[in-house]
Amino acid sequence: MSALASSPGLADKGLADKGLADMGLTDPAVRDVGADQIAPGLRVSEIGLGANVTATAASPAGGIAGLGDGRVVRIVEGGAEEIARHDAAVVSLSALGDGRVVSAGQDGRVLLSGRRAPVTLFDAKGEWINACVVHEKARQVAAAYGRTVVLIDDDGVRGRFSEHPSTVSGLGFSPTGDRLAASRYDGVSLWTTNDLAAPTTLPWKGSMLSAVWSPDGRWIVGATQDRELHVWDLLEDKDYRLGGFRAKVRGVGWTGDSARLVCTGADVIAAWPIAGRPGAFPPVEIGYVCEGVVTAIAAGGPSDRIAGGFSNGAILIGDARSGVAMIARAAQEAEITSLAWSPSYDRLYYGARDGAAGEIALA
Amino acid sequence: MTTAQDKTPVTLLTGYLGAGKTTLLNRILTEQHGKKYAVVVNEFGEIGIDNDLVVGADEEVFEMNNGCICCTVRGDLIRIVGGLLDRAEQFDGVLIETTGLADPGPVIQTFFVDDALRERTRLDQVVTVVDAAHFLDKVDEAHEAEEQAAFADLLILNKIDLVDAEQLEKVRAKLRSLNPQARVIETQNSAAPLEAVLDRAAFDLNRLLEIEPGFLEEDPEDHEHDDSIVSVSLSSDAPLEAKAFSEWMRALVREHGPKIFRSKGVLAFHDAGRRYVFQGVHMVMDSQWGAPWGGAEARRSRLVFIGRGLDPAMLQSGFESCRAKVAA
Repeated sequence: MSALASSPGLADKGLADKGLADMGLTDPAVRDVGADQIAPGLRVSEIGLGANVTATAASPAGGIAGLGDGRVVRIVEGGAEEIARHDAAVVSLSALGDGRVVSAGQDGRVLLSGRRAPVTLFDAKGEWINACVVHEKARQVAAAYGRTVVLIDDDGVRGRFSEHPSTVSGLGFSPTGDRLAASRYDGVSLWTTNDLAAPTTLPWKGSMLSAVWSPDGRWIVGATQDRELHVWDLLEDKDYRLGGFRAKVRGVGWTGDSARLVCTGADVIAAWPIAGRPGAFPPVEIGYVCEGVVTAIAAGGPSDRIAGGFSNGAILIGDARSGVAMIARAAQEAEITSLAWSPSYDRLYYGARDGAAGEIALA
Repeated sequence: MTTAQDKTPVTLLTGYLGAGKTTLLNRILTEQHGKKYAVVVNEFGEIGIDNDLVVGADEEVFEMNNGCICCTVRGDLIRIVGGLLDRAEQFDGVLIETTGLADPGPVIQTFFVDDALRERTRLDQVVTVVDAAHFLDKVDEAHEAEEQAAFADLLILNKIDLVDAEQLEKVRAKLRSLNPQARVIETQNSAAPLEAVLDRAAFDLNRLLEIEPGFLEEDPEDHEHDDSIVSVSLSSDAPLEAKAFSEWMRALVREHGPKIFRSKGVLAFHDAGRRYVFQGVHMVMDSQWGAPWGGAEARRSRLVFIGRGLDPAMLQSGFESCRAKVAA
């Protein structure tokens, strides 16, 4: 059972039970999901890429995978097509609306690829890029290496934020792109992207691993090394802790309406209602049928549809409000490292540590 | 599931400035042994190899609150080793070179408390290179030199060609008093056999069957001040009570954890047919049931603590209070 703080169980038990019963999964003896339990109506195609899939993105043209050996590949019918190559593991991928891809790697480079030969947007000269995010509308890319964050636009490096007290671990653009959150030890630095003035600080003692903005711009959530989430309410100037996770929270996302925060790190996909006060209501929990811990999530669509991948390779797709869920990939060996919804939220792309990558199309 | 064989071994290489760490590291990287290592270094340029498996560390220490215990860990290593594991198929193991002044404690604790590292790596052993010519002076100058020796599983006593027999014997005696549990290899030019350095599984509880009885030999100088490093060995032929032992250990590490560098134990509980084995670094403990006791085997419990300013009498009486009240 989950041990999430303030969580007696499924929030909307009636609906959730109905959903699980439909799948024949209320039997407590069923502790792992097999291939025969995959929900009907899903079309799943999968290929092996031969290296750890460290990042997954969804471009309008299909799924993109970034690999531990540095390759960036586009998943095409029956195979994979290399569109860029880093000299070390891919750290992050962002797909643009026109089919191009921004990738960052442990080789210190940020590459733009997908339509023509890859272009180097930035080179940290051998230092690893630890985080890279894109704000497409604002035409900005931010990349972190060491204690420095660079801001890149069409003309190249436009600014440098280097006043961080320690290595920057995560980055997040505000929805409008005019602010940038950088996580590091003892909190988050909030920069303004157009004037590069000194940052405001969201303090929290310990090692912060990420900083993710809610789609409405009100909240910032960050994971901590201490297996907690820290949530800042920028409107009310308050902050909250969410705890009880079994592992470090590596993935955090929001439903499109900013009403629920979705995260990895528990033995269930947890969708926390945020309205009012984070933690006041227990999370909707999806995935009691799976062994293992949730290692990747994807959220953010116009509906409450979310997806979670588990350390045993299983993938569940569910509803963040009702908890109704279906099994989209059976448990195998390797963990799911990354998930991404297509722009239309009807296809889910995934990658696993053993090099498996695939597409799940909803009916 | 990740099995012990799948886990990437991590070797920690410590030693005071100029002791010969870099020489050893360069040997590991250039000699033919059919294995490939990723290396986390503090100073680029010192090692003769430049490729994408050599990564610079920046020694970012921070305090982590892991539920019931607080401990300091190295955030840079969580990030760097975690990142290297994204391409784990490219190498057989990781070597971490610390600066001459680094405290090995946070480095070791990092591999016990971070869940991703715990899941995918195993700390193989702590190797400390000691400069025979300068160690005794360094010990007087700074705490780090002797602490690095106290944390070691393997001590490479290097530069023995630069000292006479009398000096060498003094250094040996000092090392024995600091850390009687560690294996010692004496070398020139850090020429230790690599099979003694790599892949030793010194932290593998499955291999912990017996603890060598402690040497009684002590350096009288050491007891002139209360904060010197001592090694305390305890043993008991009387069976122990698991609950009493667990309560005593918990209280002990809560109160004295920061002073205890390494601890190890093989224990016989009165109601168990198997050994109970544990090891710890400061307040971080790892334990499990070990091999069954043989029918004719003497069920002797042994514990060893290495730390600064430990009180042997206090440890002895605490340990004695763990004896089972009932006859075995």
